[in-house]
Amino acid sequence: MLVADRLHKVVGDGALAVTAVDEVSLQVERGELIAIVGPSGSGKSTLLAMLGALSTPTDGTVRIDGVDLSDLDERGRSELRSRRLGFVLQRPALVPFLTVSENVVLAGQIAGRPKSMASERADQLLTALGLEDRSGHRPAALSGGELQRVALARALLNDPVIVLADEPTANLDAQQGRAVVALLAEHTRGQGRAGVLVTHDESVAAVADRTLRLIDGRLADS
Amino acid sequence: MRLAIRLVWLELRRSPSRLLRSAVTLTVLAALAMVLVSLVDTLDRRSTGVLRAVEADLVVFNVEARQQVLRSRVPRPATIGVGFVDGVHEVGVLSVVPTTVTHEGDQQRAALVGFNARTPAEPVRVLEGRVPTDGEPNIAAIDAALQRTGIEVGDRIILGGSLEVEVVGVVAEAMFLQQPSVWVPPEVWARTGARAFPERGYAEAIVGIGLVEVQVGQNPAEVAPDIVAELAEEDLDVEVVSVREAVASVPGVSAIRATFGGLVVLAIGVVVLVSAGLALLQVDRDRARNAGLRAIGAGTDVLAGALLSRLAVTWALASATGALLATALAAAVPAAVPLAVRPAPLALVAAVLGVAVGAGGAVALHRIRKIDPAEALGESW
Amino acid sequence: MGTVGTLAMGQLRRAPWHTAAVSVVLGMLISLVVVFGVVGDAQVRGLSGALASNDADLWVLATGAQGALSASRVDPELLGTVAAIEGVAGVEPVGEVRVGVRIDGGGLLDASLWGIDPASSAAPPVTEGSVPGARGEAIVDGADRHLGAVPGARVDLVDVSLPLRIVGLTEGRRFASIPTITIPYARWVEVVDGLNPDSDDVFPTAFAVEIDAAADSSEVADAISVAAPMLVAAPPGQLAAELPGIDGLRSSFGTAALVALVAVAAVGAAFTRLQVEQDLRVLSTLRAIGASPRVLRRIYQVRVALFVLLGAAVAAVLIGLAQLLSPPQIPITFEARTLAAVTFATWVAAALAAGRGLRGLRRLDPADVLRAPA
Ligand SMILES: Nc1ncnc2c1ncn2[C@@H]1O[C@H](COP(=O)(O)OP(=O)(O)O)[C@@H](O)[C@H]1O
Ligand SMILES: [Mg+2]
Repeated sequence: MLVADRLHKVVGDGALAVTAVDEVSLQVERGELIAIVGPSGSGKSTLLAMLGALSTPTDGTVRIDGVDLSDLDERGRSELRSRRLGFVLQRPALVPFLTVSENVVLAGQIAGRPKSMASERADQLLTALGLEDRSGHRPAALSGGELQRVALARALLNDPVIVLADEPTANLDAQQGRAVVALLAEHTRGQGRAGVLVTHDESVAAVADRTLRLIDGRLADS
Repeated sequence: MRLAIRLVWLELRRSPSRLLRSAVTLTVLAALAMVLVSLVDTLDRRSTGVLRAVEADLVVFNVEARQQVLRSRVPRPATIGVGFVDGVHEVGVLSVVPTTVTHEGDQQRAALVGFNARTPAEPVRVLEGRVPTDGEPNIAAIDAALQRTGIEVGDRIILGGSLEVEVVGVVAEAMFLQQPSVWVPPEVWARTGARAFPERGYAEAIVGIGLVEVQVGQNPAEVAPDIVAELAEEDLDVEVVSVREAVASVPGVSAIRATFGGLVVLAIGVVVLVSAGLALLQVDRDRARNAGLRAIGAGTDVLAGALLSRLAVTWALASATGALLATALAAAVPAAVPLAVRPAPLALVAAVLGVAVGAGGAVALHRIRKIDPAEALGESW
Repeated sequence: MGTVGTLAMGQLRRAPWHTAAVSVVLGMLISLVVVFGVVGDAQVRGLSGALASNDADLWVLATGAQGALSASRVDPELLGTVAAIEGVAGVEPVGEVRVGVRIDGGGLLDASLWGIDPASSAAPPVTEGSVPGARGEAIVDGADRHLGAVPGARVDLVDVSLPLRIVGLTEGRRFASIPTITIPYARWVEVVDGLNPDSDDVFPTAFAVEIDAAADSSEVADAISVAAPMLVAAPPGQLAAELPGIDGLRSSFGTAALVALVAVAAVGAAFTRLQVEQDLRVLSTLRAIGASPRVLRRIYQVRVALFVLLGAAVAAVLIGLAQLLSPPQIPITFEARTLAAVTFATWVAAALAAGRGLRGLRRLDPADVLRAPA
């Protein structure tokens, strides 16, 4: 499903260059949720960006369903992200003047789906995530936990094969965080998807099937 | 692109203040540019209205006049010869002299225009009544600018402090050197001029300029040398120029065009920078959001499309509101301020503004293209 | 002020392009307002300087001319009538006519030829060279130096073979925005006579009147109109302001400058406001870590002042460039006072806008930082 082989990433240039990710290989199967944990600055986000076709590795390869991401051009990567991947980010980056439901539908429109289909699916997801009475509100009216659930709904809209989450609980209290992660787990491995959850919080990582530890850009043996 | 337009439409409807704020800035600049252009346009038209009121192809000056209408002296018999030059359809004469118009005790300055009726020297747009014909004594037509001061058809006015005439018609605004005009037969003009300028020896036999209409299909530029040659045979040195050139030679016109032209160019330069600046500020302000959208797969087309649609909306709002503001200002200022708006200059400014905004947007586009979707990860301020 | 200054400067330095763009925009607008004022003044001076700066107490014109010099003809026989009026210390004829000239063998130009005796109160002061003594001697305005109009140069009149020689220069005394030449009145009469061979009368354009120190000029003016109803007298400055076209020109530059001033204020305000909005999150974070709204406001006001000052600097450079590059017909001079006034107005507008934008800060709960959506 998702295979990363000896990923290496140097960030910054010249004297400021830092090796953020060093020789990382991993594999995630359908129906599996893995967690990547590590202290702040250990390279988790950098690694996730490469796994999610947001950035290109300095060295090494990422394959999704057998497709080598380095074979894709910018447009191909955008298409891949919108149709086959789902992102839940620490900052949900919702469009402030669109309602919750429109924000979710937007993901479908970006992927080029007909709006009516996307709307139907959005309603289903919002109901499943307990947001049915929030769908007409603007993001500004929602709590952090609700916003992350909206972000999860948006990530799931196009039925992605892989869901990638970067610190989805960082802005939430423990209770809200647990709720969001439980939903994430339910909607990834529960639906036969692969999931990658990045967090610095060991208790959040506990929901995953497997936990990989990243220290200074390298995977620690576990 | 459709998605981009829809997004901008929703933004405009739901949170107009964001879009409107940048529109306000551009509106002020649009209004500035429109006012400037309208000022040049009005100053220009009010200096040269007499020449624009007639429909001639060529203007004949005597050489000594150096293309000045007020100074030109062409003997009337010579203009008859012009009528026989190959390619000339018709010829008429027109003379201008500064005068005063007294109406119900109020005196004001005006340009007295003597002209041949039913020739290329006749004013084309008659708004009311009729224009005098040659030989009619003691009648005149006034232009719309003079009518605005309260003179109507049927009123009696005094020209040059002594000659009373009846107003029989109103022609479209035809000001000369910022003065409104009175149109009279050549005889009336000669009499009034002779009284005001005794040393100049005004006479019916000496007129100001010749106005020539060429035959259909003839190139005026080719007929002009023939007219010069024809009159040279009669020992008269003349200059024959297009109406456009004659208009440009009116005192002050080239200075106005050069001065204001420079200032308009400067103002447009400011608009380019401002719209580039506004677009950049918007891109910067929405950077995190755009990175997030890019992370979930939105391509450059959506982001750039949204930016361009937003700029287009801003431009349209700014042009329309700017035009309204300029029109309102023109209506509010006293009549003495040479500010009258016409659709053509406003449209021109709107078009140039569109190009300026486009140029500004191009800079911002470059920046939007460079937004890295990986920025959406982690927290970075 | 140390922290405030550091933070304000830090933000400016963090986004140098943005800072540059805003300063350049403000600078261009500020210079636009200043240039409007300066160019407008120069145009008005070029059109009417000969009258506006004239030293005579009153000028007498023909009533029917409605203040247009070119239409004014006064009967020389009335010189005595005016001289006899109480309060009149002296009266001299003055003539003005448009002529074609070649200065120093150059191209054919339109010029305004004035006939004023050097001893007359209406005569322009000579700032360089000497006062015309002999009949063929002339003074010209220094603004036409670039045409070769310098002491020693010869001026040929078209249509009249009465050559003139420039002996002196004056300043700020142009008329009708064309080269302006002053010669003794007697020679002027000869020139006009030569220009109009068919006519034998040459009337002066106006009388220049000097009044007794004790006399009241408006009373003398009234007395002149009473004694000779076809004459009207007014101070030359007033006549200059009422010249045909002056009003329109002055008001158009005034309108343009005013609209530009509104524009610079609005742009300054809008940019500031956009920026405040953009920075609101950063600012609320600063608040969360304990900065008081007062400090934040001060940071912002320092920033605004810096932007406007940078804009003024850009404007100064632009005006300086314009001064170097402007053609002699459209002289642009650097006027620090105008620049300062426009800069001040811009700063006030931008500072007010920043204040308004920062009001949003008060509404922001410091805790919002932790949950506000991006
Ligand atoms: N654009 C960048 N320029 C320089 N250094 C960077 C950049 N992005 C990340 N880094 C560095 O790379 C390392 C890993 O960062 P990141 O992946 O964000 O860590 P984490 O998500 O685990 O907190 C850190 O030391 C960080 O400072
Ligand atoms: Mg991170």
